[in-house]
Amino acid sequence: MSSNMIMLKSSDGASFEIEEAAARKSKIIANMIEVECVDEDKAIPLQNVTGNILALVIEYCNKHIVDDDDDVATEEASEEEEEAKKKKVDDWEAEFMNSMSLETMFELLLAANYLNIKSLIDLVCQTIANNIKDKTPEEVRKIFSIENDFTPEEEEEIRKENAWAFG
Amino acid sequence: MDIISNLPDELLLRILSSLPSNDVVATMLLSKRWQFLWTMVPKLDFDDSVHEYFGEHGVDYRVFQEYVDRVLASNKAPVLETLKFKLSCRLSSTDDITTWLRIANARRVRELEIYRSLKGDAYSFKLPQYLYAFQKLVVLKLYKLITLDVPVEVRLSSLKSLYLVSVHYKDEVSHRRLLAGCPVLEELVMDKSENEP
Repeated sequence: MSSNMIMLKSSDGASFEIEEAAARKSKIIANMIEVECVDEDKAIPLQNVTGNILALVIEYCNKHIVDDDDDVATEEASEEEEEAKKKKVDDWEAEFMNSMSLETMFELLLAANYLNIKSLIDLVCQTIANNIKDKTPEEVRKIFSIENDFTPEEEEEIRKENAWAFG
Repeated sequence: MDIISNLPDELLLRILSSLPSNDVVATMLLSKRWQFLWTMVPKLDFDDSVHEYFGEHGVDYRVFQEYVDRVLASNKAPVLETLKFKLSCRLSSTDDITTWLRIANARRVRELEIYRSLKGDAYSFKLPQYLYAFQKLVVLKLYKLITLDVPVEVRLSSLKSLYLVSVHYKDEVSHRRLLAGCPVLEELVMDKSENEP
């Protein structure tokens, strides 16, 4: 495994050292490396990501570094080992998402989107969706502090027009 | 605006795509930002047991029928990625599924799943013949009380994954014809049909 290290710099000036293989989870950074925009001694500036969120992104990428080394890792592993490994990653992801507030979750989603890390976008979207599942609109509004900007008449109208949905 | 409503549509649609359709449809009431988002979600699933539509009189089932009609007709996603039906009510008929599949075909559905869990051959779905010419279909999963009466010509030219679990075949050639019409098939999952000797 290559142990090339690269530097990332957050919007608030914090620097992070990360293995190139982990940083490549981000399509944006991988592209930068491909076209050699990355100067060995210079940090890559990420204007849209703050230090505390970047730290979470890096924690995630480091944990998932192995996934991409498919040719080396999976060929030798048996099915059982694979399953055990998958469960370990799932548990880690659940714990990881559990450790943060909703607000942090949204910042992480925007960062993952900006950096183009598909598996992290999927993980955060699923976790946010779990907060909507089986809830009434009133409950969902409360969880996410969504302001109801319908007048009572408008809301009544929507309920009436779509009675089939709220039967 | 609050933090979730501020997300770009693309991300909100990804969040909504991780939810059952019931929850998706209900988001139209959250606020103006959300009023029409639900119509853009490329994934639909319908389950007639969710609302306990098992009324003897069929009134409740008609509510479910209208629900499916409306949601399908309202959908404006550029591509309908996934459509799933779980129909366990005696009142769901071959006519219903025929109508819904016609819309699915017009929407060029990529992944279709039909689960028909019920006892009694009389309730078996006979799938419409045009299903066997869904050219955009990539995944087709059929479970339980479904009868396959396959026409001579099958053109499932994009189908990569086919699940035939506990389904019934009208005759022996049906099975053969079906497989012969899937030139790019990569995955086939099947078991022994319950009504075969």
